[in-house]
Amino acid sequence: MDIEWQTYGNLTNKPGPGEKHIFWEHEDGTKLIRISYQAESGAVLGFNTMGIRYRSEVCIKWIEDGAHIEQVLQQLSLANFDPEFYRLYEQQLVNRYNELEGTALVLKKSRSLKKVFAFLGG
Amino acid sequence: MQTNPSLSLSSPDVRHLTATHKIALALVGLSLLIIVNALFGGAEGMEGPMLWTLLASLGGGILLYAYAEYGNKPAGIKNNGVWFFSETARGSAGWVMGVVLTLFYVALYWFPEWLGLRSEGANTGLVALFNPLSYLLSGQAASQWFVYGTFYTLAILAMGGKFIWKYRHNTYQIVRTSSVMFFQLGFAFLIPEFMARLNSTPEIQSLDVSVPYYDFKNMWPLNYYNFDGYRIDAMTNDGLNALTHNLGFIMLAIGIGSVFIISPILTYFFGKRWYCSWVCGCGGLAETAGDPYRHLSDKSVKAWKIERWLIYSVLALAVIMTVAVVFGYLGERTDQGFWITKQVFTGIVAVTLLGLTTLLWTRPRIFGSIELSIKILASVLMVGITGLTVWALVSGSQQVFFMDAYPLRKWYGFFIGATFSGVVGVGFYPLMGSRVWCRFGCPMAAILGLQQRFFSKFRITTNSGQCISCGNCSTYCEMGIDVRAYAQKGQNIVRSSCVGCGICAAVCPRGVLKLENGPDSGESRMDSVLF
Repeated sequence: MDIEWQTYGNLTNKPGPGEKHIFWEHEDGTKLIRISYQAESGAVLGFNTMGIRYRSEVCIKWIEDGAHIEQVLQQLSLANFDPEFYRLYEQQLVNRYNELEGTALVLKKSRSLKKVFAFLGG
Repeated sequence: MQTNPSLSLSSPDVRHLTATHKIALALVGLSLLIIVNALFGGAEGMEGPMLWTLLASLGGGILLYAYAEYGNKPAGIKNNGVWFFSETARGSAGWVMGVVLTLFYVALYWFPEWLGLRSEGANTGLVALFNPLSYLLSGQAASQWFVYGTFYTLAILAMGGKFIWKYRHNTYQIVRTSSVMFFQLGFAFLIPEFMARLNSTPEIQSLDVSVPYYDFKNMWPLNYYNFDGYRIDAMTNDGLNALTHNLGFIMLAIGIGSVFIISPILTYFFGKRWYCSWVCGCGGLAETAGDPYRHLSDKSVKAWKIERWLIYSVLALAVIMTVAVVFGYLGERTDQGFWITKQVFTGIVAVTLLGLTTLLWTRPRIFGSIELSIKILASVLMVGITGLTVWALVSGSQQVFFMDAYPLRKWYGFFIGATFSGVVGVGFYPLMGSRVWCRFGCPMAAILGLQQRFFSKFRITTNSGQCISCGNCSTYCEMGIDVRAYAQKGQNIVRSSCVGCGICAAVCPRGVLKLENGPDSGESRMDSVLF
C-alpha cells in the first residue's frame, strides 16, 4: 500500500477519439504524470499522477477553463503539491512534449503559494 | 507461521521479531548491562574499554534494529502494529521504559550521587565511566551533566538515523532530521565542551576568569537561567582578558538578539518549526527518540484546553521570574557603571508589555478571534507586571513582586525546569507521547506559538475535498492536533502548537496536506476554502 495515485478530470487508459495523452514515467517505476487533452483544440481533459501530489484547485481550474495543453505545461509547477525539498519532475514532462511536438516550451519553475493564489484569483 | 483468517487490513497478530531484531536487542541489552555494572562500581579501572563498548553497542544496536525494521522493505510509512506492540501501546514494556526514564531524571536532578557524583574526591560509578570521553573533549573530568549530554546526543543521533531510515522516501524529513542531529551534536554538545577546554588553557587559568557554558541555539525563555545574575556576570566580566570579555559579550548579544530579532523574523517566514522541529534540543529528542511514541498524544478537546491554560501560565511565570531576577540583579549594580540600568530595564519591560497590550485591543483583524475574557486576563497580567516593576523602581525596592527574586527563580527551576521539562517531559514519553513538555509546558513554544498563530506566513494547506477521513494525520500528530477535523472541512491548519514536523503530510495516503509559507497572515489563513 505504498502507492499514491491522484486523478482529476477524465482520463481513459488509452486516448479516446480526438484525444491525445502526454505521459512521463520515472525509470524506477514509482512516479508518473499523464495529462489528456483534445487533439484539435488543445484543451486539457484530465490529470493522472502516481507518487506525485497535485493541487486539485489548480487542475480543476485548468479543466473547467479548457486551458490549452501548452499553457498548462508551462505553468505545471503551480499544480505541484509535493512537500518541500522534493525533487520535481514537471521539467521531464515538458521535455517529453517538446521532443514529440517539436515545440520549445519553457517551464516556469516557481510553485510558491503566492503564485498559486494569483493564478486562482485571476 | 500461523496465518490469521481475519480480513482486517491492520493485522491484530502479535509481531514476530526476526533474528536481526533479536541481535539488535541483545546489543542494547549489553549496553544496559554495562550501565548497571558501572552504577555499582564495576567499571573502575577499565573505564575506557567499557565506555566505548557501551556507546558502540547502544548506538549500533539501535541502528541494527532500524535495519531489521525498515532495511529490506520498500520505502514508505511503516507504522504497522504500533497499537499492538507493548512498547508503543502503553503495554508493560512501555511502562517499564517510562519508570526507568523517570528514575534516571530523578537521579540526575536531585540525587546525582546515585550516579556516582562525589562532592569530595574523584567521581565514581556511571559518572566516572564517562571520564575518558570527557577528557578527550574538554580536558576535564565528567559530571552528571556530561553523562546526560552524551546519552542525549547519542539518542538523537542513533534514533535520528532510525527516523531517517523510516522516512527515507520523504526529503523534508531527511533534511529536517539532519538539521536536528547537527544542532544537537555541534551546538549543544561539542561547542560547549570545546569552550570549556579553553578554561584549562594556562592563559585563562592565570586570569581567574572562566568561559561560561553556552549553547548558542538555546534561547530564553527555554533556558530561563540565561539572564540570571551569575550568567550575566560570567558573560560580561571584564576580567583582564579581551578574549573572555568579548566572547561573553557576544553570547549576551546572541542571547538577547535571538529572542527579540532572529526568532520573530524566522517565525514570521517559516512558522515555529524553524526552531521547534529543526533546531531545538528538546524537540530534537522528541522527534527522534520520541518518534515511536508520537501517536500516544491526547487528541481530545479537553487536552487542548488544559494545554492552553498550562503553557501560557508557564510563560507568564517565566516572564515574571525573569523580570524579578534581572531587576534584582541590576538593582545591586547601580553604583558600578553597569551598561543597563534599572531605569532602562524598566523602560524595556514597559514598552514591550504595554505595546503588546495596545496591539491586543487595537488590531481586531489579527486578535479579533480571541475571547474577551482571555484578552482582559492577558492585559491585566501585562499591565500588572509593568505596574509592579515601575512601582519597585519608584519606591527604590529591589523586590519587584514584593518578594525576593531568588526563591521565585528556585521554585521555577524545580517545578518547571526540572520536574516538568525533564521528569515528566521525557520520562513520560512512553505514556503520554513525545511532546508533553513542548505542548503543555515550554514557554519558548508558547511565545513562538503566539507568533505563529498571529504573525506568520506558515500554515498547513488542505488539498480541497480529497480527505478520506482515515485519521492517520491526527493519530500521528505528536502535538495532539486533530488534523483530520480541519482536513475534512478543507480548512487550513493554523494552530499555535503545530511544530511543523510534517508527519501529518507524510502519513496522509491521499496527499491532502502540505506545509506552506504563503502570502497571507492572520485570519485569512484560517478561511475554510481560500479559493
